[in-house]
Amino acid sequence: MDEETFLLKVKGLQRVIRVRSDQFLLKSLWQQSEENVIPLRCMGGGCGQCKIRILSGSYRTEKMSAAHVSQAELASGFVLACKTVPLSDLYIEVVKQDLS
Amino acid sequence: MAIKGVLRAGFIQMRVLNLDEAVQYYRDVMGLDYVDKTADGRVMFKGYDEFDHHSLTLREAAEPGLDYMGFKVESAEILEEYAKQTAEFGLKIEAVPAQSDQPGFGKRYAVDLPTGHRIDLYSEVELAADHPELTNPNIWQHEPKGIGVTGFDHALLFGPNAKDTVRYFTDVLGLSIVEIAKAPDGENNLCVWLTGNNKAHDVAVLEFPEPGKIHHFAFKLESWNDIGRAADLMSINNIKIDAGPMRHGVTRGQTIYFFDPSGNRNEVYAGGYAHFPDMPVRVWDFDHVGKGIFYYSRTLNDAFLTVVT
Ligand code: FES
Ligand SMILES: [Fe+2]
Repeated sequence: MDEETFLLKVKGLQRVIRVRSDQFLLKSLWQQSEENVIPLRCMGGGCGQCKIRILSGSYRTEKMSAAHVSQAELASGFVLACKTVPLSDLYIEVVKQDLS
Repeated sequence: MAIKGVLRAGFIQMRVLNLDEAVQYYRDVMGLDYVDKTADGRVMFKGYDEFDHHSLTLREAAEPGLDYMGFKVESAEILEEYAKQTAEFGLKIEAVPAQSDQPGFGKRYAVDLPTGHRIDLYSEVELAADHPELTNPNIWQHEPKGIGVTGFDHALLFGPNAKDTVRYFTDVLGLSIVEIAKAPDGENNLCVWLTGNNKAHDVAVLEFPEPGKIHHFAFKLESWNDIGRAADLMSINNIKIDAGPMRHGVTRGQTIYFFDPSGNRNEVYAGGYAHFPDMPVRVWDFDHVGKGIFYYSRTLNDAFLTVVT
């Protein structure tokens, strides 16, 4: 990969995963066949399956369903991974159980 | 005219997170015709093979999902009759003036269903400016874009008290139950599919704890070949496919489930049998529901029944 990448550490997962700096976290995982790390469904910020909590690191988000992440949650690090772009290495925790 | 009462599910208003993104998707990828923008910034669409002013309205909001869907009824008299019977049935009903928030639409009645959804009943809609030809008609008035869906077909609603919503649909609106999927207890219904006409279904209702949810809304395609071409275009356009291409056991339609850019589940649907009101109801036991929905893989995954907007 030529693009800049960051390291993603997931609570409870031994491996560290390299993710791209220029796209949504969930898309990076999906493209590397790492779609089982975070539950995933709509990829559009609507279904709430990919909800995670960022424990450390910086990131930016795009509009996601307020039904799944409230303003208060957003302020305390909860996001939908399909609408989150990493700006540094990240340490995250998965919120939802995988239903697939 | 042999179809009486409810003619069809003819309209739906959906919420999206980003209107520009949604317009690009519904117009260029799905191939719906862009009709117009409302005064308050919502966007109206229709399929090329539909006559009514519009069949889909998109509204930008903080969360995706269903605002309401509409059922077109036979006449203004029937509309008033249904309004009376709806109130007698005990549901909250409110008149919406003609030519108000849905341009081109006559008087509507908004009904609150026991499942927490709103449906609108209406009888008059202006003929769309860009409608199928009426004299020596070609198959298209212009070449369909993208996937080229012909029009809105049906929706699957999720909510509590599904039994009461179904009873309203059958007893007041006169819809026919086409198929039923049984709950694990074999007594209650998990899902009920209904139609007001010759289509295999106009609406389906599934028992679910959260009110007012929508599982998917569907657009019509002509054939299995069109479904295959739609799948090609979904890959080309990076659309997230949820299931399919495949066939349903229920209604026998050929189908793909996928997501719009806001995470609303869409379907393209082709085939399906023609329903007649004298047909007996077909029933699926719970242990066969997988085959009823996914006729080829024959297994239902949990996420399919729990992920909604
Ligand atoms: S996958 Fe649906 S919200 Fe992210
Ligand atoms: Fe469907």
